[in-house]
Amino acid sequence: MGRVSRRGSDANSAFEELVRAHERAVLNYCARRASRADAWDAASEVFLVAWRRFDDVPAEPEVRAWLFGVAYRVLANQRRSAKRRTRLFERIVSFETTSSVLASEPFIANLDGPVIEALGRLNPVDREVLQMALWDGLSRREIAAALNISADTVNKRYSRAKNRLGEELGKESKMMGRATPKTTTKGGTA
Amino acid sequence: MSVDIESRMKRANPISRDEELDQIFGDNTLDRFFNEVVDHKEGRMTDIRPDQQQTPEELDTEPTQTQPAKRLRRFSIGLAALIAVIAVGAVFMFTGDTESPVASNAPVEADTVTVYPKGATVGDLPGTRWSVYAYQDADGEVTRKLADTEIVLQFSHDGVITGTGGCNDYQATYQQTGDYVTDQQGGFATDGVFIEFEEFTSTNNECGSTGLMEQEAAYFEALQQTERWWIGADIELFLGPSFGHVVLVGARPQPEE
Repeated sequence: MGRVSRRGSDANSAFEELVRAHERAVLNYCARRASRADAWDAASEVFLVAWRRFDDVPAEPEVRAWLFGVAYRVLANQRRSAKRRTRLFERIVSFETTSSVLASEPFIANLDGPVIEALGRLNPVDREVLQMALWDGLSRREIAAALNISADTVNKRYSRAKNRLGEELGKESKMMGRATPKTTTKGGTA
Repeated sequence: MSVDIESRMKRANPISRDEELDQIFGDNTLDRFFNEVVDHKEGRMTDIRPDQQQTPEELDTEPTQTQPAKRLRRFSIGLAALIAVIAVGAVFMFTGDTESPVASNAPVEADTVTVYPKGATVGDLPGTRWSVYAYQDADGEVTRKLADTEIVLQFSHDGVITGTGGCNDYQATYQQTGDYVTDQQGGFATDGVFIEFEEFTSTNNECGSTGLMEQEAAYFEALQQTERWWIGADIELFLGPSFGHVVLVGARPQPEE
């Protein structure tokens, strides 16, 4: 779909076409990062933003990255609002998304908990780069467009996030490795 | 190792198959979602897209400037109405009194109304140093800083802010996450850049002046409320929890030290 000006008589149908084409991807994107209710609201907000800024929506194939960029900011805004509601002066450690929110959702109950936890300890933008690449299937160029950072920065952040995730998971394994013998010793079993 | 991490990360994807969407949101998710978006758009159109009610001729004028220009016009109309109400009230209460009923911080408020973002981007902030001249005080009013005091806010290139609140030096990390945002509460798409300060630390000196300590406490508090920044028409830095809600104003940037 090419760019359709909001001034055109077919803006409504073009918008509906855009929603139909990308609603699944946007809902998936939001549901991977937020609770069910927040994801639904955020995805809806993304398309309202697209409607308000219809002249800014790029032509295909850049639309998806543009919508994901909006979704990223809408979700960040949601989290900020939630944080603002729950604290004034207290600081919540940067672990603001994945584990605490998603862990409460029944549909991910069987997910790899250590990975979700470790993701929560990453720098938020680094984490987003990794998620966009490996969960949402965006190319590095699309990630750069969505997050408004350079492709070089995407590459650096991707490498850093992957290394950090590996370190975090390594720590987790070591801790579990230490915990196991203690348990067995205490129980008196081999 | 890296392949393992990537594979494990992929396996941790909360939604990796299309059918999972219906499991999460219920049957016919996409149809329900589509209908809601369209209904929402139609229902809010008069609020969020007033330009849709205008003639095609009006809409043909400089489309890239219509959003801020119209927002500015709406602000101006609102401001004019507000001033008219204040003026009427003032005449009613202070007949014959030539003193302006507007508070002493009026210039700051006027700035926040008459400027709008100039397309500032994340790259504009690192390496700048600002002399802060107004902040939101404990009563929630934007107030000019005390004379003979200095508040400095400096953005490094590596994600750290440093400066002085007038008595104590402080430091925090900062992170910007994009060059435009959506004001969900206001219903308008707004420009401005998300920013978040974290890991805030400061020295713990006591300075003699009560006013200075109160000012510094309010400044530190305002910093921690900040979630967006934008640049005013006179190259002033505005910071606040949302666009138009100013908690800090920095004067023209100075060379980084």
